[in-house]
Amino acid sequence: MGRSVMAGVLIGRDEPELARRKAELLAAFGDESGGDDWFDARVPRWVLGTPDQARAMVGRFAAAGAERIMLQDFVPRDLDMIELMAEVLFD
Amino acid sequence: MRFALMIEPQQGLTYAEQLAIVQRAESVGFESFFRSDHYQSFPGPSGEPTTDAWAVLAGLARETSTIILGTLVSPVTFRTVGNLAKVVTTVDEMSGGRVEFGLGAGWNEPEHRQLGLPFPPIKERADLMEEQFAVLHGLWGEPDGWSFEGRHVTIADAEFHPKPVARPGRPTFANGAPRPRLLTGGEGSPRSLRIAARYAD
Repeated sequence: MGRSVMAGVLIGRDEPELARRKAELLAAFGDESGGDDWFDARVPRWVLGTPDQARAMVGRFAAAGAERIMLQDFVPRDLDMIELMAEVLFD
Repeated sequence: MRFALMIEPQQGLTYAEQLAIVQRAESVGFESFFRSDHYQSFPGPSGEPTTDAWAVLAGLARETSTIILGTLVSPVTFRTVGNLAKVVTTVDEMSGGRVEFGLGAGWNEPEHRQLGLPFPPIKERADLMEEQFAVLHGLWGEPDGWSFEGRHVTIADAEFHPKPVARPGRPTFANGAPRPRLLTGGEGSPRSLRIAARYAD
């Protein structure tokens, strides 16, 4: 059996872009908490953050034996983020 | 590392939005595109637009050319297995063999209640999942005349055509017949792992 992992994804090219996407995602979830706790709880499991943070997380999944990552995108209307995933993560 | 894009179109996404997403994913080089299979909108407000996963994938199959398409995961409760096998195999033909298929036991009771779909207890849904995997294997891999007697499903003298498309890299049965890669989800209960090991990839 191939080893796959499904992980939430939210990345931004820089901190302002990331903050904007975090706000969009929280709005999609209907969360009005402000969000820090919400995201902190997901740091161990998500591909989340700046390009360097996202690459590091993918590296950890690879080290754990994953051959494929399903990136679960909860702000899918943002096509620029899809483009950024490819730019930042693909070999 | 291989990368798939997974979206949750029950967040109110129209077909046109899903088309734009898959076309962007294909153009930037994602290997595969998966969508969830839910009829009730979440997270966020309920009552948003939702689409049928396999009807959408049929459309996307004709608007893309290389990206793999599939569900993560279709609940066993949405479609009876004969219809499921026909739908998935039809989209496989329409896509030139680019389908991967995820199947799960289902969990979201309200979307069943709202549409008159049966939602039996988890034990029975797990039985159904095992039998649906067995039937997909049988219809795709066995010769004409195949029959199956399960607890919930009975198949007599199947004549199932077309078979899945032969495409390099696909899993094959012992007789060489190709089939879509099969996926299942879950938190890793012993039973789900046993079913995954026996039928899925």
